[in-house]
Amino acid sequence: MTKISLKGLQKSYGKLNVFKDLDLTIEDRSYVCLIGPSGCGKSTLMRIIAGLEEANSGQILFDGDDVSALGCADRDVGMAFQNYALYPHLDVAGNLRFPLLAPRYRGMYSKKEIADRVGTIAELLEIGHLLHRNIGQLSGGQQQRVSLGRSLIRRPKVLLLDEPVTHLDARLRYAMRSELRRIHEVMGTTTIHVTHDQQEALAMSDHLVLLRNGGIEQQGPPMEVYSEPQTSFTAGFLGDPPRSIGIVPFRRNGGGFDLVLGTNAVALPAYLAEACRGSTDDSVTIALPASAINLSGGAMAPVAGTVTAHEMIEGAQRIVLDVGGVHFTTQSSQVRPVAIGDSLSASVDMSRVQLFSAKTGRRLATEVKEKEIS
Amino acid sequence: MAHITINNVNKIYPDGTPAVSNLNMEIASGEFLCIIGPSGCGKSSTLRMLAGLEEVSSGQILIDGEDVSNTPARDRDIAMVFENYALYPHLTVRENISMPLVARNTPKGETKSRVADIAARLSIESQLDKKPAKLSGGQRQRVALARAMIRNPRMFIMDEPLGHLEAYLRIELRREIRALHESSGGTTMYITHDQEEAAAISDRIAIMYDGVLQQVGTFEELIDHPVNRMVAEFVGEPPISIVENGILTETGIKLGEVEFVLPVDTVRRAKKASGPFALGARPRDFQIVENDAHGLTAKIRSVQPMGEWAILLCDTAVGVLTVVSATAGAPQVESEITISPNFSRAHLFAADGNNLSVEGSLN
Repeated sequence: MTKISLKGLQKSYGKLNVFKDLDLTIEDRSYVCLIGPSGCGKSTLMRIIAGLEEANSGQILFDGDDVSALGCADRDVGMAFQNYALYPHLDVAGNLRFPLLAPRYRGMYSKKEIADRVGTIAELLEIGHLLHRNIGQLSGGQQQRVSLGRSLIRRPKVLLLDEPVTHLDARLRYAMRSELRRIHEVMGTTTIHVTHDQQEALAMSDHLVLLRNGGIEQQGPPMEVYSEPQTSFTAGFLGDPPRSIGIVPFRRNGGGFDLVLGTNAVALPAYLAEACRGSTDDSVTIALPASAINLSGGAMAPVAGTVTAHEMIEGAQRIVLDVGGVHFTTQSSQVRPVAIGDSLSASVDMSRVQLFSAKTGRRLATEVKEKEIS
Repeated sequence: MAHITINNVNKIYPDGTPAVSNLNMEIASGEFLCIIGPSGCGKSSTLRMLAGLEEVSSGQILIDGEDVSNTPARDRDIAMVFENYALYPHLTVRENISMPLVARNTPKGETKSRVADIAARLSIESQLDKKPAKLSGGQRQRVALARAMIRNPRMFIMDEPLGHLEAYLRIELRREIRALHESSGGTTMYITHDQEEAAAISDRIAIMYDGVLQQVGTFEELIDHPVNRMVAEFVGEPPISIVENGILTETGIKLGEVEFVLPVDTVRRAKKASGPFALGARPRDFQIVENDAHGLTAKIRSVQPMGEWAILLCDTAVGVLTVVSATAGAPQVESEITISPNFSRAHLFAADGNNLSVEGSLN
């Protein structure tokens, strides 16, 4: 039950600046996912919150108390990592109770209390029947639950999860995602979950933080970040299939604007043209979801391109078209025979185009209210 | 070009652990075959036996009809790519890539032009004079691919070559690998843990479990016609929903209090099989129907949006079922809906795991 505030965090390794000046607030009882490309600083940030790593300057506050000077053990955080790190010589119960037996807690937990807590956590994680098994006899998913149980048994203020489900098979991965959310709802522990999987972050978090180059690119409720990306980087990072992103020429046409998509000039809808009005650029970055590009034609803006890739995924065919140097990713449950190099035409729903400055990557303001971007 | 025949191959490690049991498989010349399965299923052992890095305990491996079971790796004319690149750190990218040609005494002029050619195809022309340590993970894997693909070996073997690359790089590189495979005409065998990658890159997928080959087919076949419950549960994201303990009726199956009609052939096969029976339906194969329509009453436990699609976890009288719906207009948490699986696409599993909805599942 803890609100976490990071203020003016600065961290460097020699010449390498990981964080220059990072501020982040994590609300009490929230489930926050940190995502970003490798090297963005997400794991370092988690390690700094855990106290495994020291920041060069800045403050870490738990409910307003500065914990920056405290070591990991004094911060009251629970941690679970992708490699479980269980004690192989102890059984499941032994692993679960281990944190309660640490010398620093001597005398704090009675035998009965320890037994009760092991029982409660095992029941919550549905591993009650495994208490006397050896770690080596458990499946990956079961080991992950034990690891999670061990991190929760002291009822820590904060739970830190680093890629907790990455190595599991699809079936277990989906099951553990739901499990983690359910446990969070029961325990209410403020949780920070690092993942590289954008779908996992969208599906699991209350609040999503996208990091890039040691800064916060965008944060907010996950579907809001997904639907209203404020930079072209965010637009390209979130979405499956990935949005089509590229720089295209644009030009004035009377009172409006045309985008040049390959050989076709298509008019921007009025509200998007409005967003471009002040611009002196001659090109703009566009982002388009796959569902806005239709290979079956239709009345929408036509484009023509060359097939650069095609592949089957579950229940759908994905075809990538090169349209004037920009790759348009399409997806359809209707499978068509294509080969690389084929010419295909498509129609684009221009009302779903999002526009970004080709220079700064920032979203061109539309009716969507501008948000603070750190 | 190589046609591979794997004949009754077994691999038993010295400590007695069987890694691969009675494996029979044909890989057509020019085919791209992926092997998937949970860790320890025998997929890497299979690949290593084919490469000649591991001996077969019994059985034969034939390449174009020639028994290579006892042929050393270097004489099998196979190029390999692994997850951990295995580049020579003290050599430049150019030297790394040209290594397989130099080792075969290729004339200098030809080596030079082929290095230029493959480097251009993999967009690493500007990296040729650098050492591997100066490159990013994605670039290093491109170099490893260039080195494997600079020759025209009769076969490529790749074990998780994109394993620790980022999502967008994996997508980019899998398309390049597929294009290189097509233009080389070689046969490729490829291991991945990523189902989408397997679906996208391969012609067919082999799925192994516990050292035993379960099924070989296109991704679509594995999704739509899995031979058994293991295949059905392993393949597909989000995973298939399974209702246990269905009661067989004259025309179909009773799940909880609700009776559903199944295809006639499925019921016919089920009558000869033994229960308890389980019904599996893919999350995309559920329909949300009118509340008074025939179906299972479900209370929405959670809605997990994943962009345009959302995963609904539904509490029903017969267990928790996963349903995929469009995010726009998805039902609210705690609301009650009625769902019905598409029974022409559902799977009925016998007690032994056989899928009774698939032709030929009863021996």
